[in-house]
Amino acid sequence: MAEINDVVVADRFKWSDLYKKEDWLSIWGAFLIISIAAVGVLTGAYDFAAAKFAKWGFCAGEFSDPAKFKGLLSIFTGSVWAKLGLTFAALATVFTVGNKLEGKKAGKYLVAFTAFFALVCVVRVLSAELTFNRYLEYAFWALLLGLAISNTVKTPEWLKPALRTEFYIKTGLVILGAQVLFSNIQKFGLYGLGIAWGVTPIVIIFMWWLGVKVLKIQNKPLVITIAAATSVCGTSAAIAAAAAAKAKKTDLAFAVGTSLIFTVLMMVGMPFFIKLVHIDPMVGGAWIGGTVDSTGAVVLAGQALGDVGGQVAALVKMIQNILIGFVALGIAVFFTTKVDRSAADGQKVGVGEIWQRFPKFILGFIAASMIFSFIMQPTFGIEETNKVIKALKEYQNWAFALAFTSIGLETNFKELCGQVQGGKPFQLYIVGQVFNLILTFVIAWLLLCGKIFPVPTIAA
Amino acid sequence: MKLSSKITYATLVAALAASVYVMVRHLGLIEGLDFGCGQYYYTDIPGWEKYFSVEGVKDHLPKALYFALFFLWGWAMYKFWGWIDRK
Repeated sequence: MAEINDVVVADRFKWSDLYKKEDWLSIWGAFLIISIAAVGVLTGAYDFAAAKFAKWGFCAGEFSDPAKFKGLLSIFTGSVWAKLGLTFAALATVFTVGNKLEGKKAGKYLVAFTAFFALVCVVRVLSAELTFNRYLEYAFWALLLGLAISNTVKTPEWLKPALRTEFYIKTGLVILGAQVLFSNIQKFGLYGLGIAWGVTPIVIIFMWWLGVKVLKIQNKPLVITIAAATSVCGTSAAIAAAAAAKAKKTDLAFAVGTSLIFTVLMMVGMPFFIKLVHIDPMVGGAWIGGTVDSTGAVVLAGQALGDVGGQVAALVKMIQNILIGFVALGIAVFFTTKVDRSAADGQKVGVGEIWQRFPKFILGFIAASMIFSFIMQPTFGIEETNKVIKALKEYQNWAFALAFTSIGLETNFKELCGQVQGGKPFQLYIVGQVFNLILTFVIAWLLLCGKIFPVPTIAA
Repeated sequence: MKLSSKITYATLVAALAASVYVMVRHLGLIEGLDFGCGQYYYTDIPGWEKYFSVEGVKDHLPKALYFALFFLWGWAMYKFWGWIDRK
């Protein structure tokens, strides 16, 4: 088993945990940010959106319209500095107060966090480069920069209080929950439900069987993190699954890295293959939506098939995005009741024990999703809800960028290479992805070919 | 080293080289669309409302049916996962 300070999860529960423990503090911190952003949008009194760097390039040739070229220095406008100040103030407040309540030294944390935030700004500036932004974004640069520092000049001791990976991940996940609108489940009718939700759990279970029973990978949290990244939606699902399964930080880094490489290839290869063998754009779009890991890649690859393909791909992926919270919940319950139990010599786990072991931040994720799906959206309408989501999403990105940079700064290459285990995790990803491709295609074809069920009419 | 490991590493190196090639040559991008696989979640996509705030398919089935199917399938699959794990 991984050591407790090496895993992405919570400790045992006591009532005082509500104001002392990371899981609960991440929920309160995230809900504070959500509430302030929502009030700002709904009253129009202020703009609480976090900083986002404009895209820049190394040369004008990178831009489809060279007249829109922006160099690195031109992105640092007055409004960006103001937004950076707001973002720093909001995150520093939430995390410093959290550290103080946990009994850690707030002053040391704040000093470390200030420098750490500056480093994460570098990550986000790098990932805003036009080409990097389209293909890789912040997770890659955060891991790379963190690994480069920790494996060369070493992470300085005074910076270490700010490396709170789990706290950042849990807070980011609860904010992400607000963007998961469960009401979207109906958007592609039973077709969408069948393709997205019908296939996903089967792929997860297949990959679990393959990883644990066939390849005999001992690290079960790594298996489920790779399975969730493959079957649900790449990076976001990997983060949620890793936190739910108490995965090691290196497990998450490994799953995300593998997913990033293959997503680039699938985004280019799938539309090419679909057009080459003349697959119907609706079937092809659903296939892409159900298999390509990153949502951006799904929409782009779907659009390469035309408007219908693009819209079907987006609809299927939208439904898959809903699954993150429920898959994470299932993983948390499974690991709490079955995996941890077998690790404890098969002793029966009571309800109280399950509650103690359960990662509570998942409740915050689900609560945020339910509030936005069934209270916010029906009360204020989809447009206002979308505005709140827009104001929130950069806070989630900053929290995840903090988490991935922290993982990089705490990881050495030797440890990461230890994950390779004779290539077994790669075999798991590759075979699992092939299974995902075959099963999704079969289900998409059965539902959308028009020979068994009527072909749906897509409404714009 | 086992043959399966050799094939795995060869596949990985080929995938890595191919993904670098794709990025260097800017393959798979569509003019006018300012995003790609770096946008991990749907709200990361610039102008995401255009792609995701659509009606999709209009049907007259009650939402409760969707929720029931969703939770029933989820429950069945969870049980199946437990059964596979015990085998």
